[in-house]
Amino acid sequence: MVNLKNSLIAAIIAAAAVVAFLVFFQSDEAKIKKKFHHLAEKAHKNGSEHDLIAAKKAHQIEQLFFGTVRIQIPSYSVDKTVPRSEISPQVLYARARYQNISLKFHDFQFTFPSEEKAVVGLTGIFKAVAASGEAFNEIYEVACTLEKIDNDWLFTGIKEVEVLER
Amino acid sequence: MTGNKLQKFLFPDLNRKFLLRIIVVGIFAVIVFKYLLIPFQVEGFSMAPTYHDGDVNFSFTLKYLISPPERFDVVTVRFSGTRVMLLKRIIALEGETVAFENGFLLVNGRKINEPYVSERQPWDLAPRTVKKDHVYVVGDNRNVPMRTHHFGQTPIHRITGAPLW
Repeated sequence: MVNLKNSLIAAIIAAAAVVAFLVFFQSDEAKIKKKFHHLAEKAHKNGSEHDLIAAKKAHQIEQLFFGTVRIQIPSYSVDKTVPRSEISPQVLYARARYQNISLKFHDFQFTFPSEEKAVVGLTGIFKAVAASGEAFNEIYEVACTLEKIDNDWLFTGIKEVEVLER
Repeated sequence: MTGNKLQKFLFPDLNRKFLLRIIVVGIFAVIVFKYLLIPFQVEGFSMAPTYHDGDVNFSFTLKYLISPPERFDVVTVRFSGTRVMLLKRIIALEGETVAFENGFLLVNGRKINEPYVSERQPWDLAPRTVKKDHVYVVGDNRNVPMRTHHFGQTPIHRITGAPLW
């Protein structure tokens, strides 16, 4: 009985240690992936939503960015820099155009040019239904630049990688 | 198969040998289906009528290990990884000039017969040259407006393989 009790206590301590390790010693890759999941979660939309909720989500997305963000979408000839303060209104405007939005990220490829900088290549799947009823199902390869600011990884650049160039 | 053998086949003894066999089969399956025969499901109508929405297939990654991709080969093109891939047909190789005129494919200025295309919309695309180490890929379904069809040239290193059937 004593052995069983000791084994149980040891198992609980080991499990707690594993959980603590996962919570407190996340790798940079895991922390960055979490940012993408957060972005997808806040971009998600299912039907109409209250203006305040939409504004809150847009603000939460803005918090994922830092400084002046460079956005490059060569397939639409877009190359511009957007100050962080302008991200929230633009997200609000973009999300308002759709009834439903789903954003998913796959195949993360991490490179760290320095300790404070990361470039993440990934595949993004954007599914949406516009207010007019038109459905969108688009896939992009994207290279995102993030910087570590006060131990927090924040987006500073988003670039579309052209897989097929006409 | 006798009743006893069938019972043993369906409900084997969970001994060390059996567990080892399970592990070996598991590792073998991971290697085969992650690196050699990547399973995929067709989504959309870009390759209709050759491949249909919902079709299941495998991308054979060793297809171009020795020989380079050729014109009319159907290939899988990766994005950042192999979780999401495009299924397209190669219509031109590096150095060749590609154009569409009233829906018909022109390579180096000559009209190319495409028996896999059933119906076509009047696509018009000005001539362009395929870059070095690139191929030009397009879907078989030309019965859609050109602006909505995803096609163009892609580096050969993005080709992960060819569908098994």
